[in-house]
Amino acid sequence: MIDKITRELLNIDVLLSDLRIRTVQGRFFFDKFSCFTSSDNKKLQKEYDLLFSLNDFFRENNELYIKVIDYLEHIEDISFLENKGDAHKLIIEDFFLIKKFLYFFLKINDILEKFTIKKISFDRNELHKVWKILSPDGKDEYYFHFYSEYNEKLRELREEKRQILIEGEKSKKKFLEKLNEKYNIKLSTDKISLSNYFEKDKIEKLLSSGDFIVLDKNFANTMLGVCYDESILNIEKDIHLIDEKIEKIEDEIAIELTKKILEYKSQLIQANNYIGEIDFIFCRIDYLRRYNCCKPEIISDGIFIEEGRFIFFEKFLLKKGLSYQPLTVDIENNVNIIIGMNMGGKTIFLKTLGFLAAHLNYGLPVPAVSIKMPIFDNIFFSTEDYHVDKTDLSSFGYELYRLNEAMNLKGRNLFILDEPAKGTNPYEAVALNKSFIKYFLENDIYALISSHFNLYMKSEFISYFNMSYLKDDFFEHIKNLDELEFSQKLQILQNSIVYKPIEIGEIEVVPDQAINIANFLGINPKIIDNARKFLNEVKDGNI
Amino acid sequence: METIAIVGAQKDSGKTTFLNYFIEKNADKKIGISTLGFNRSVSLDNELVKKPEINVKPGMYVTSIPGFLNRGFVVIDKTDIKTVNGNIFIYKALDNHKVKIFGPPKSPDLVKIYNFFYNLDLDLFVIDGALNRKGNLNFDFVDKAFFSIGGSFDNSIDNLLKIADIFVKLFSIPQLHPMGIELKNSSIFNSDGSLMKEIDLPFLGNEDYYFELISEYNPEYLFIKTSLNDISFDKIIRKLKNKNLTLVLKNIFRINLSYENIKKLFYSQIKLNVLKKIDLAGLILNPFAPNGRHIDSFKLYSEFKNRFGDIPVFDIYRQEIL
Repeated sequence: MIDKITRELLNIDVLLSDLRIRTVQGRFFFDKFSCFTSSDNKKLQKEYDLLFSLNDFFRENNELYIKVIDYLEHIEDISFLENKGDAHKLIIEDFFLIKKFLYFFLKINDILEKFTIKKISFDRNELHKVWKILSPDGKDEYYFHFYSEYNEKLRELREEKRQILIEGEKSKKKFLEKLNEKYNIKLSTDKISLSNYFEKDKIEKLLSSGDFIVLDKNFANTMLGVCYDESILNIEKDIHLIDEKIEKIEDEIAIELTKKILEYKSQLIQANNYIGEIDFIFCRIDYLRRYNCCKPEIISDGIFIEEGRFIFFEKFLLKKGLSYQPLTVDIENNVNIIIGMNMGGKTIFLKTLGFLAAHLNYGLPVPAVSIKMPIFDNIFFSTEDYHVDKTDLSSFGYELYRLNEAMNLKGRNLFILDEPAKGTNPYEAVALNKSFIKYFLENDIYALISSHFNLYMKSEFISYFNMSYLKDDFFEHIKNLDELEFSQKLQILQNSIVYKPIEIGEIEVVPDQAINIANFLGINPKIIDNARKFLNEVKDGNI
Repeated sequence: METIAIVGAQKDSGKTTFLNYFIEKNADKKIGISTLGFNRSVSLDNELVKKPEINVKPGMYVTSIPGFLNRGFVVIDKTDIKTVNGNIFIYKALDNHKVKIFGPPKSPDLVKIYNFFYNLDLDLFVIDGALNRKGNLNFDFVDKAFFSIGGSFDNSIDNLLKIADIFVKLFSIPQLHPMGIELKNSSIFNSDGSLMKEIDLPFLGNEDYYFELISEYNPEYLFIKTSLNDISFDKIIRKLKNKNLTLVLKNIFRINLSYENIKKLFYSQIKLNVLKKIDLAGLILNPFAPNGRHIDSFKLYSEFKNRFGDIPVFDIYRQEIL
C-alpha cells in the first residue's frame, strides 16, 4: 500500500496518469488492479519476463507494434453485453460495436498468438464464428447493416424498392415538367408558395385546374401542393408498403442475430476483459520505451540501483536547462542514514528511491540502467514540510501521527523519512530519531532516514551515506570569484556539487562544508569567523 | 471536399427546407450531412421531433445517435462525440429516407465529423447549423455559407433587408494575407511582416492586457485567435475606435456578436480583416413563420433580388435559385 500523501510526494499519481492507457477496458482493468506485494515475487518476475520478451519481439517488428497500438486506439468496448439477456433485443449500433470490437480483437490476436498472455477458457476460434455471423458478405471491414444475405426476401424487397424509386422519380419529374410547361412555372419539388396580393390570379388559375391543392394559407401567402396522378400516388403507397415489410424483416433479423450473438456472450465478455489486460501491457511497453527502462531483478535483500532516474524531476531540470544526475547506490543494510549539506540532494535521493520502488508494485519497468530490489508491501514517505499550512496539527505532530499509523502496517515495509523531527529541539530530535532507528532494526524494516543530526549508533546493520560532495577543486576554483552576484555564485555552487551517495564510516558523520559555503556566498566574515570557532569547540567537546 | 454551412439568424428560418433542395440539386455528389445547434438538454419526445426531416439519398452520409435511424442505413463508425442521448455515429443511407439527424452539440466537435467525412473521400460536407451566439462557432474549415432569413426574425421587409445588409457586409470583410507570419496565437504585428508580440492569454478576460500591449507597441494589426463576443464588445469599441488598428479574426464566424453589436462594429470605423474568407453562396428567404409573422413572398423575393443583385436569392418555397 502506498498512502495518498506518499503517492503525492513521490509523484506516483503523476506517474500513473502518465501511463498511456488507450481503451475503456484498459482503464477498467487498471482501476481494479491490485498492486504486487512481497508474496508475488515469482508472479511479478514472470510478468516482467513477458513484458520484456514482448518488447524484444516488437523491437524487431516495430510495424506490428504500431499496428497493435493503432488497433487498441480504435477498438470498441462491449461491456454493455454483460447486462443483455434473453429478454433483450440488440439494436443495429450494438451489432456494429460488437463487429468493430471483433475486427480489431482478431487482428490483435493474430499478432499476439505466439505469446501466452493470459489463459482464456474458450477456443478463440469461437470468436471467428461470431465474426462470420456479423459479416455475411465476407468483407474485411467493420461497417454493419442488416445485410440482404440474412434473408432472401429482404434482398428482393430492397431491389423492388430500388426499381420503384427509379421509376417513381422519373414519373414525378415528368409530371412536374408537364405542369411547368402547362402553367409557365418553375417547380422542382411538389410545393410552391405564392403571394396572395401579387399572384392572386396565378393561385386561382392553379387551383381551378385541379392539379394543385392548398397546403397552407395565411394573410400573405398561399402554399400550394401538387396533386400527383393516381399512378404516382400508388408508387408512394407501394414504397410505404415495401418499407413496412423491410422493417418487419429487419426486426426479425435483429431478434435472430441477438439470439445467436448472446450464445457467445461469455466468450465476448472474456475477450473484452482480455483487451483491458493487453492494453495495460502495451501501456507498460510504451513506458519502457519512452523512459528507457530496465527489467528489475527481484531479490530478497538489499537495494542496488544503477543510474535510476526520478523522471519527473529530470524533466523539470531539463526544462530549466539544468543537467540531471541519475542515482547510483548500493544499499545492503536495512537501516540507512543519509547525511549531507543543504541543497545536496538528500530529499531527491530519498524520493528517487521511493519512486523507483513503487514501480514494482505496479509491475512497471524501471527507469534505470539496472535495479535489484525486493517488492515492498508498503511504502511510506514522510516529511514535515508537506504539512506546513495544511493541517491544524503542527507539522511535527501530524508526521508523528502518520508514522505511528504506518508502523502498524503488516508486511515488508519501506520507510523513507526526510529529516524527521527537524522542527523540534535537537536533543529530543536526536533521541526520537535514534528510537525510530532502534525500532526499525528490531522489526526488520527497511528504512532510509535523512538528517542533519548526528544519529550515529553502533550497529553493523546500519549504513551511513553522505549525499553529495563538492568537487575537489571547488574552493580553489572560487578563490577569485568574490565579485560575482549572489545568484551567479549559487549557480556555480549547484554546478560543483556531485549528487552521489557515498557510504561512509562512523567518523565522518557530520559534514562541515556549510560554513565554507556560507563564506563563499558572501556571508558577513565576522559571523563566519565566529562560526568556525564554535565548530572547533563542538569538535573538541567543549560545548 | 468542399464544406458548406447553412446558417440562419433564427430557428425556423428555412435552413432544413433549403438543405433538402440543395441535396436534390447535388444528388450526383458524395455528400455528408451533419447539424449543429441542438440544445443539449433536448429530449427525443419534444423539440427534436418537431425538427423538419431531411430527405437523404442512397450513398449519403449522415450523423445521428443510437436507436434513431433504424432501417436502411449502414453503421459506418462511432465517434467519441458525446450527447445526452449517446455518442454520435456516422451512417450511410442504403436507399431514400426522410430522417431527422443529430449532430454534435458544440461546434468544435464538428471538426471531428469533418475529419471523418474527409477520410471517406466525400465531395461535399453540408452543415445544417444555427448561428449560436452562446458559444464559439469554430467553423474554420467552412468554405461557403448560405444565410437564411425570414419571417421568424422580423415581419418587416425593410428590417429584413437591413439585417441582411449587415450579414452581407460581414461576409465581405476583406481577407488578410500576413506576409511571412504564421499566426498561431493572438498577436500584434505590422504590415511589413514584423511580429511584435504573441499573446498566450485568451482575449476574453484579458482585454486590458491586450490594450496595454497595443498602447505600448502601437501595432497596425491585432489578431484575436478566439472570438469577439458581446461581453468584451463595449471595451473594444471604447479602446480601439481612435487607434489606427485593424482587427483580424480567423473568419467571420468568429464574430460572435448580437445583431445590434455587429451594427455598432461596422459604424465604429474599426477596420476588420479575416484570415479566411468564407463565400456567401446565397441568401435563403422564408416568408412563413410559426409565430404568425408572415411576409408577402413575392414582395420579399423581389426586394431582395433588387437589393442583392449579385448574390443568389432563394425563396425556399418558390423554387427559384441557383
